[in-house]
Amino acid sequence: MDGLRDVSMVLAAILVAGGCVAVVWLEFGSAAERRLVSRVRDSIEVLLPPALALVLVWIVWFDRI
Amino acid sequence: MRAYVELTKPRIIELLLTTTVPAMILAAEGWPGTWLVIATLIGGTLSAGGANTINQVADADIDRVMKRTRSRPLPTDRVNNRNALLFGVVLGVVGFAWLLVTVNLPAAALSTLALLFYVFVYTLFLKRSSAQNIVIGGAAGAVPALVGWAAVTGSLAPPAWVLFAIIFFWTPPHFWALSIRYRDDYAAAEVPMLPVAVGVARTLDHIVAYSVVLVGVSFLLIPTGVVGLPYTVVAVILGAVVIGASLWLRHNEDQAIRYFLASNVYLAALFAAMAVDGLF
Repeated sequence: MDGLRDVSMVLAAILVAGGCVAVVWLEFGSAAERRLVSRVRDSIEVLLPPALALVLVWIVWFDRI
Repeated sequence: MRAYVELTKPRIIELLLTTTVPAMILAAEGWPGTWLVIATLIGGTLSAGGANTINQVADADIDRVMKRTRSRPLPTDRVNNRNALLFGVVLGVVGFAWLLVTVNLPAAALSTLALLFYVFVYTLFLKRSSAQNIVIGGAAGAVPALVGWAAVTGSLAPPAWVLFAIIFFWTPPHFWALSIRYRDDYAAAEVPMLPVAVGVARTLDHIVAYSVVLVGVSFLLIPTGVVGLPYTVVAVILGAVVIGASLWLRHNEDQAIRYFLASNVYLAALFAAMAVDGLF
């Protein structure tokens, strides 16, 4: 059971991190989106969910140790 | 009477409550007690109904413009704004009081916090001004899982936040699919949903990215130790399906409404698997 938890933890971390990079890339990596993130508020709104997802991965990772 | 029930958006409440009971089962590591479940669901229904009603009062001008919503009680003048607002506030207050008396303070406070967040942050602040409206605003819809957990334990633990995150990251792709289908409606109402703000092709890319995060977050419940093999198997299968469906949608944007409906099934099935895993 510990093996299953370890594997799922690593898989979850990879998927969340990969997805978050993609979200940020989509928002900041194109001219179309750049217009949307021209203000500090927009940038915070875009970055907040990926940041919270990564914090959650961190919490679960250290909670299980 | 029927118009007042419509104001509460019963189908959305149904989905919210679908996430509450499994959260309670995981928190209790078994059946948490029939009365506690019923009391929590009643309180959750009242609070969510209040939030949905006040939302419709604030959005009455938008609902009049959009084809999808123009038959709602306020645009059709079956209920006036003042009575609807009063009804929504009463539901919210009664919901808080009910949860406080029959369940506990954390559950009551979280439920009311969700109502206030939905009305003030999502409806009044983000919806008309941000393409991220549904991303941030979706947090309100994720709170019922926290309410369920808090109803049982009186506090929140990492698994509760994982449940919250599953619903939080499920919400954007779900509603972006709906807004692809109704993008002309949203454009006419000047609501900057993502397909209106950045176009359909870019929205479909966002759906894929958020689906990957969603699946990752759904796996995150396994290392917390509250679920075992049955949930793992279901999460892996559903995860493959949801990422596959998001990729498929990139080439079938006219099928967005099918994706939207299937997405409901995904969430319900994932939480059902949690409940079964927690019970047996």
